[in-house]
Amino acid sequence: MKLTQLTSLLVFLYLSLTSALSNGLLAKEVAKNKGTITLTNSNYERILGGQREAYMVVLLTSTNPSIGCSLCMELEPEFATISDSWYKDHPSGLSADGEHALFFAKADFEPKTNNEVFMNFKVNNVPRVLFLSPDQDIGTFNQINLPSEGGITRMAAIVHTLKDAIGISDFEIYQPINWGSVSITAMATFLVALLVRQYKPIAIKMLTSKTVWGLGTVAIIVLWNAGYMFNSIRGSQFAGMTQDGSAVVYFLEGQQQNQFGVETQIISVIYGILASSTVALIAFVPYAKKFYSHDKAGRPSPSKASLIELALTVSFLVALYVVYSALTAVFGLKSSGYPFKLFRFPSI
Amino acid sequence: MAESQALRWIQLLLKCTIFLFMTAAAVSSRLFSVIRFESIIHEFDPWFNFRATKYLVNNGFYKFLNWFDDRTWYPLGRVTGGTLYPGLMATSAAVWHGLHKIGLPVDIRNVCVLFAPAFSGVTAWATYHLTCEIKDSGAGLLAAAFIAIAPGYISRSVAGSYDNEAIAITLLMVTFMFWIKAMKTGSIMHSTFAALFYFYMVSAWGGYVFITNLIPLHVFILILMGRYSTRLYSAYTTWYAIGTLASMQIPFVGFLPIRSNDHMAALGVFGLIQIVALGSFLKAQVSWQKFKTVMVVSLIFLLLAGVCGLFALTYFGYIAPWTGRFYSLWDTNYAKIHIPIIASVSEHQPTAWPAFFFDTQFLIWLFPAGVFLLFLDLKDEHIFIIAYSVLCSYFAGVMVRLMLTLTPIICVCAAVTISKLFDIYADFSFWSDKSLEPSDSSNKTKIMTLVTKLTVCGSFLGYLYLFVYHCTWVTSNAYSSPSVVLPSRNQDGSMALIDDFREAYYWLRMNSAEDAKVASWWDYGYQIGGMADRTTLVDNNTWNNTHIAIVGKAMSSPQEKAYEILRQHDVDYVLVIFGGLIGFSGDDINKFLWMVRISEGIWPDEIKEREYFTPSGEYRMDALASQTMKDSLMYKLSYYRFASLFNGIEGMDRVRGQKIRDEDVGNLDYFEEAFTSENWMVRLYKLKDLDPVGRELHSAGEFERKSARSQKKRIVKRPSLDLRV
Repeated sequence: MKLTQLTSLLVFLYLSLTSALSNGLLAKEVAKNKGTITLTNSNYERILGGQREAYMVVLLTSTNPSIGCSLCMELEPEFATISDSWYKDHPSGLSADGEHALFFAKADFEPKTNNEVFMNFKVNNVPRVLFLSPDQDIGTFNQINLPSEGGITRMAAIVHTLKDAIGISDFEIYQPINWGSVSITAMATFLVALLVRQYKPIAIKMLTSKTVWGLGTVAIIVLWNAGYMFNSIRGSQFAGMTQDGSAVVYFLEGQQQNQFGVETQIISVIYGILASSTVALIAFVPYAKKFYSHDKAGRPSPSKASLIELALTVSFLVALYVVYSALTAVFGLKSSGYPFKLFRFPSI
Repeated sequence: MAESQALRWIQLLLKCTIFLFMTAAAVSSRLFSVIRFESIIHEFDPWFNFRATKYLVNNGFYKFLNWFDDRTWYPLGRVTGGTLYPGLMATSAAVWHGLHKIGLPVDIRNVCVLFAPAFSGVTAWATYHLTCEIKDSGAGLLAAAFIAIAPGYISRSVAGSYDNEAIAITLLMVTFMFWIKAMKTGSIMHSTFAALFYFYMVSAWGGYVFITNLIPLHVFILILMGRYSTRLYSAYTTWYAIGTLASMQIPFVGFLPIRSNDHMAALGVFGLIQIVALGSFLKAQVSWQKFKTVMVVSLIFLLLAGVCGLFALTYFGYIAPWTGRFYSLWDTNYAKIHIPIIASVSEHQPTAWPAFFFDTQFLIWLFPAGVFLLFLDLKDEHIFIIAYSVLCSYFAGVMVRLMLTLTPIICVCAAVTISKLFDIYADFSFWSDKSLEPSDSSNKTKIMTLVTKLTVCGSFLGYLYLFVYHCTWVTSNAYSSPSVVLPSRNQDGSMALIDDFREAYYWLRMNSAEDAKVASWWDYGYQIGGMADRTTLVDNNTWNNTHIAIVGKAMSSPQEKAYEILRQHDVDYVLVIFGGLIGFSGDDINKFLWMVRISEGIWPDEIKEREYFTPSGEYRMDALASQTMKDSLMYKLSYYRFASLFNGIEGMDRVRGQKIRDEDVGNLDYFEEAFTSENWMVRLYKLKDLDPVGRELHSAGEFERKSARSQKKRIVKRPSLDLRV
């Protein structure tokens, strides 16, 4: 009699260790990890396998820079935001009506500690967001689509999918407040206010200076004309890699409707140089000529002035020509079949 | 005296000649499409405008304003007269009547096709006068030449592109020209003209809101800079009063100017300028100290009251909040999440940098230089140009189609830059300067100056020359395709035309009942209405999202469910565009996800976007496609019989580069193929009638297939018929 009791107790203990955790225990696990359970070789079967009552969302990723998975890097804070948002409203993992439970788990690839997780799901490439229903075994799962557009769009899409799949409605995304940027802004505002107070006359002069306003406006216009809004709306990648990953690609060749983030920077610098050289030709060269039209003693020195004018003009024109040919060359990369070139490189 | 008189005449003659050539260049570079293809209306929206114009010409203006169109949006219909901007149609009808009066019986279609090129000449003229006010007539001529050939404007005004924008840009420039004149002189006549052209603009294009906000912004900035004057007061109040009253006469606009947030800035500035006028009157009467306190207190009070009032009125629903389209300009994520139908239009995508260069070439870097040069002078009218530049640079960055409003200001600013440059470097009067006594050193100076000026002029003339080539190349390669007829090449390289759209629409026109209803995705609604003259369920007007979602739901459902939905809406034919055979990438399968998304927005329980992807999240059509995808009506209608073109087992889709298996497509039990165009681009299906015996159509189809299989094929031997001579 005693023996059977002991065996049953042992069996029970064994089962509770190996088979799945109940919602309460999962919630404890989540609380320990502040929102997302970290999966390892030792715990993944216990957490995901067996008789689970909860839905699970599992992110399999690899943020190690040596692997160079840029999408994983992008997804990392987004996934954290989603799971934190759920955890914030539902610390117990249960939805408001108490019917459905949902937990988030994650494995960031490390060969020694969690390779079995990846093998178990037969994952060949990362990132993957998996979705496990309560009735499903550890072997069967669905995948959640990741839209290519990052940021809030992707988060909204993932949350939308989850809401649909589980049948819950109370899942809000809380974007974390970036305290670092808030404090920097506050400090900067404070500093500026202090400086303005200290040097009031200079501040007023700056504020009413046409040149300052002009430079600011022109900078904004140049930035917008170089496709800044495209980057901020689409959240484009900063730069790309060649197929074999050996070199960095700065331009999306042959794609007129698309661009990398770095293209905006390159193009705005080009536009900036071109515009300022033109302004220099119009405003600065005549000024310089006038400045040198009399030597120090006050005698007229027309030949020196003309020489300086010539030198300045030619240097600005050369700058214009070189940079403009660079611009047409770059545009030729983007628009295949563009026939015009200012400068033809000798064939290599 | 006589000499200067003669000089003036020569100048006038030169100007006239230059304008003549400019107009010729503007018109002829827009004629590529007519010469290469034929005189045909392009794209989608122009087909509606064309149909409306025909209605106007045939039925008169009053009937046109009361037009209820029961041939679109079946069964709802559309109050077309009250929901369109009649300016474009009214203008071309007036032109048509005028030509008939002077004995030129021109076809209305040709008036419509050549409308945009003709108005581009007027745009050049208005830009000339606007730039004259900003700088001088030299800059004006340059600006007019730029706008005449700049691809950014040509993109919407080639022959056949009979769209609202074709006339709207002209009116925009004319309105701004009169506004600048009015605000410089305070002339009531000029501001009345500005108001009248503003009214014209309101009647022609929804983008009039840009003027409604830009002019008040200009006035507001001037007041902030302390540049208030009585000239400004009389110009603005006249413009606002007349312009607003006039704009409310357009049925589609109605009471919007006093009830919508888009227009509140104009009203607010109108109030503000009254207070400022009162303030400046008081300033002349009382001491500065007293005035200062009064001004500060009252300004704060008024600002608070105004903002609170606006919020309260919006909250209680007296003022409409910002419309989605305009709101999405500021909050760029708004449309993507809330209004998929706006986000789905390709014109509403953000602009990548090549588009700016493509559309304006070297003007794009002269433009910031010009803005900076204007800052150095900063007269009142320059502030207008600067505000316009900043706002439109932003808008053009957010939406591709708003490149159109940015282009004119780029041309103006670039013209200012070039003309300032030429003012300095194209002035060769020093050569005959007698003040210096001829000597070796002065000769050297003269030669050096000459070299300087010649190099500058030479290199910039070279850039201008290149600009002309660029514009012609872009216009001829990118903007001159009617998109109704597609150009292609034969095997031997000779030009061939793909004319499937018209072929299918014409078939529909000749072979279907006059009141047949055609279901297609909304993109083709206007074309079906215009070319096939058949009733459509949805069209490019997109005023009813639910109705569009119904069509989307039918396309994404399995055929028996789709049949039910379409039956409920009396549909006779279903039309799909399929590019898989010839590699036309703008086909319905590529637009299919939007149909799914839009219908998912209305029926989230029945349609789920996720189910249309493969388990690994790819959008595929071949054997790996998800079952929901293979079952959907769009899939079946697109690929029905497709494999029979190849080996009968699987066909190669050239757009997606995937193999489509015939067994995945299966049988069509509820639809029968009515017509497929030459290159399979347009496929028309007829809904089968209900089974006469009352069977479910699917089981009837099963039965027939089974009996066909069991029966031996009867081989019909054709009688040999010789020609009897």
